[in-house]
Amino acid sequence: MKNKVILLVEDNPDDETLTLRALRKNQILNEIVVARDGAEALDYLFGTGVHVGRDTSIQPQLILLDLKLPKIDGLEVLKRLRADPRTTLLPVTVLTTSNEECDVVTSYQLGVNSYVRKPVDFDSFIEAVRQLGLYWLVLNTAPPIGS
Amino acid sequence: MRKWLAKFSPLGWRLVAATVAFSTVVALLATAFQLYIDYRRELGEIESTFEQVEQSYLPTLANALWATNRHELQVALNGLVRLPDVQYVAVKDNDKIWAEAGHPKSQNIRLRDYPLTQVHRGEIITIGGLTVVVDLAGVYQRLLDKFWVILITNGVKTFLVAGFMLWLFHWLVTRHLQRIAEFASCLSPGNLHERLTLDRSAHAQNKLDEFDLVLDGISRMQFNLATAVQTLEQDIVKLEQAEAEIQQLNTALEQRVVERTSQLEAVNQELEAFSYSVSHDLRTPLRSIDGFSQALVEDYGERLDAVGHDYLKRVRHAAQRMGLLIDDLLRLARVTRTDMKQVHVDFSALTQEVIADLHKHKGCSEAPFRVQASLVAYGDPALLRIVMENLLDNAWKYSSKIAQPQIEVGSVVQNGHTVYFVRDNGAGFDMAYVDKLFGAFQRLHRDEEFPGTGVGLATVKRIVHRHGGKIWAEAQPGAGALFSFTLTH
Repeated sequence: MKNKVILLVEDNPDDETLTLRALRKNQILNEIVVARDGAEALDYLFGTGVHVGRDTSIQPQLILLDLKLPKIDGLEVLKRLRADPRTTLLPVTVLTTSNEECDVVTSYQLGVNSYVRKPVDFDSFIEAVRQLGLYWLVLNTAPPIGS
Repeated sequence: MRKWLAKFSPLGWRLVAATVAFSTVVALLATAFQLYIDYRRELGEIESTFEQVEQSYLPTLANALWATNRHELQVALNGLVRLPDVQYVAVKDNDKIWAEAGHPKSQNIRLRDYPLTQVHRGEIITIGGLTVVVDLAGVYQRLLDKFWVILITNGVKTFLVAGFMLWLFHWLVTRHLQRIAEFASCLSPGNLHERLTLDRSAHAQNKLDEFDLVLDGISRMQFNLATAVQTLEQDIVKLEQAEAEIQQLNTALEQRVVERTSQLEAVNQELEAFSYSVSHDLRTPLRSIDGFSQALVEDYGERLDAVGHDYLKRVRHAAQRMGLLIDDLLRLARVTRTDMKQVHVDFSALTQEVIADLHKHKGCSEAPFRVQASLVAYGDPALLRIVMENLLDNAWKYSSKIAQPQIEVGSVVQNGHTVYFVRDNGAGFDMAYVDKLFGAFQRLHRDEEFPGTGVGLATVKRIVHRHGGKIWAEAQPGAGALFSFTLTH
């Protein structure tokens, strides 16, 4: 069985590198698609813009979504993908720097599946990514999407 | 007629009534006195009639009786009975009537008996008697007539005098009083300068009387009133000016409040944005520093010597400490910003929960906590939890290096206030630096001794102040510390 895609929405190249490193460190071998702003993430999900022609019946198994993003921010991305029937059931985890209460509350109101704050300590971050991968890619039963 | 009478004042009518009553009483008394005098005079006249009879008729009648001359007796009696008021006369010898004239009467009479005497042989002998009856009816009738005449005369006179007095009183007093009353009732602040004049003859005007005093008094009163009204008007103008000024000041004040409020709101929004930005943007580079340092150790560790590893360890430690500092700072800011919801809190249970969390986090040796039972507090539970987290974490931290740590939580009542305390027997501190204790980023120990950011107690102080209480500390180096706080004024 071919491993499904993880969509990482992250604008900061350092964070991108570190997240990818943490995923590899935890033996998560899924294909990682990186979108560097909110618009690009939506293009990927809906097969538009640079991703025109992509088969949108195939959707990522997990979306790791940063909140502070150029063009379209993470909360707006979340709102739009929850509004579209093709993506409404996708598991989304907010993976961001802050745990400001307003962000947490709004994210859950918009239908996020979990909210994880990136710790400064890289060891803790690796541990967090390990648990995330274990839960969403192994333990959790994915929603039936596409064929 | 009725209308004409009505123009006279009640005062005039009262005056007339009193005059008539008094004059009637006096007239009655005078009449009674006069009638009494007349009555006495009439009785005197009757008495003189009797004397006339005694002197003029008695000898004639005695001689006629002696001579038993009836005719002469009758003639004399007929003359006698014509005297005024004489009703009846009779000559008797014992019970035998020799002659009589007039008609006998038994009521309202005066009766007098005279002896008829004759000198016979040197002796005076009584040969009979004369009876004279005088009728008083005539006297009474005359007195009655006189009474009526006096009464009617007096009545007419009194009536005329009363009428004249009524008119005179009206002419001299009442009409002027009515004019004054009318004038006074028409007086208003607008026409205080109008003069009051009375319709009086030139003669009366030349002589000063009580009305002139009244006119003078009213004129003075008008002047005083006019002065008072003027003063009042000036005062009102001043008041209105003051009110307008106050209004203006209020408007300006409200304007300023609105401006300040919007400024404050802007500052608050900026602060909010700042805090949000700090929590996102300041932490991101720290993660890179820590993450890539770790990557360096893992991927290129064999090319580094021990010093290189040590440096990288220090870089990571510094980055993580910076992360903690940012978190604590944000918590301190949040403590000031969040809304407080004050309720009654089971403070003992809250403290036990915090202790349980501490055990879980530290996961290490059991620090001996003693918590007084049934502690209660009134405050925001979330904020009180932060207070106890910081105080107990400190107590644990600073007593971690001694053999038998003891940490005690309780409350005492001082001056009517509940004072909560956290006591430990740990490292303590020098009271010379107690002023620095509650300042943000102020520390009394080096990080190598006891790690920390210096934000915890500043956070605690802010929470206690937001509850209207105060916090203070007592300690000795090496002999533990005692933190006390109240939650209300």
